[in-house]
Amino acid sequence: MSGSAQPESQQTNTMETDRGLDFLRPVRLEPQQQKLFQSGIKTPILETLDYSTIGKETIMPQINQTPGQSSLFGDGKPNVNLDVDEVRPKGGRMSIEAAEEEKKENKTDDKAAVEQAKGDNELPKDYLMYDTNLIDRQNEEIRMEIEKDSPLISDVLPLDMLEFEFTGNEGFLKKIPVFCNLISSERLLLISTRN
Amino acid sequence: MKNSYPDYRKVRRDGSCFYRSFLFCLFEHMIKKKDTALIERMIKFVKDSQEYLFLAGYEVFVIDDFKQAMLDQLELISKGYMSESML
Repeated sequence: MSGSAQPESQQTNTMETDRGLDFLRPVRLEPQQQKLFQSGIKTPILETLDYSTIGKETIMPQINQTPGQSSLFGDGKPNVNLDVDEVRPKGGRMSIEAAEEEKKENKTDDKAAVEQAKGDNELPKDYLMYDTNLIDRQNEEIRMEIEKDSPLISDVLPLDMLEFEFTGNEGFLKKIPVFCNLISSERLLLISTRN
Repeated sequence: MKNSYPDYRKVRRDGSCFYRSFLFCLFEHMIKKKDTALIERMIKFVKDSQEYLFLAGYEVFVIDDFKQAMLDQLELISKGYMSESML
C-alpha cells in the first residue's frame, strides 16, 4: 500500500506546482497514519474484542433502565448491565393450536386473493399493449415542436425583443421574495429571462 | 442595460444550455478577436484536462472522444479555418 500511495502524492504535487491549483493539494498524513498505511490498516478493536460480552451489550439495554432515569445515555454512559437470561422471551414457541388457527386464516386470505386475481385477468391489460413505435413517433413530434420554437442557439436578436419571463404572471414573484430581490440586478435579469 | 447588452441570443433550454452558451461565446470570441494567446491556452487546458478527469475517476475512453472533438475545433480556429458562420 505504501508503494502505491507515495507516487500518487508525488504526482499531485507536481500538478499543483505546474498549475498553481490548491484543490489538488496532496493529503499530508500524520506519522501514526503513515505507520498504519505501511503496516496495513488493521482493526485492533475487532481483534481484541471479547465476544462473550457482545450479547449483553446488544440486547435491549433499556430493560435495566430505572424509573427515575430520564435517558439511558443521560450520564454519558450506556446502561448495559443486564442479565441475558432475564431478557430472553420465555415460552418463545407458539402453541400448536394457535399456529393451526393462523394457518387457516392465511388460507382464506389466499383464496380471496386468487379470486381477485382471476377477476383481474378478465380485464383488458392496456398497459401490456403499448407500441414502442408510437412512443418513438410521439417523442419525435415533441422534439420537432420544441426545435421549431427554440433553436439550439438563435441568431443575434435586438434587446427590444427580449421578453421578461414572468410577463403577465408577476404575482408569482410575490411568492418568492428572495428571487424578486435577485432579479433586480440587471445581470441576473438576463439569466432569468426566457432564452 | 442596452449599453451593456445591445443584443442577445436565445438558447434552447434542454439542460445543457449553460455549457452550450459558454462554449459558443468562447468560440465566438476566439474567432472574432483572433486571440491566439487564448487559443493556445485553451488547447493546453483541454489537453491537460484529461489527466485531471482521470484522477477524478473518469475512464479515459469516456473523455477521449469529447476531448478530441474539442481539440479539432480549436485547431481549426488556430489555423484560421473557422469563420463565424460555421459556428
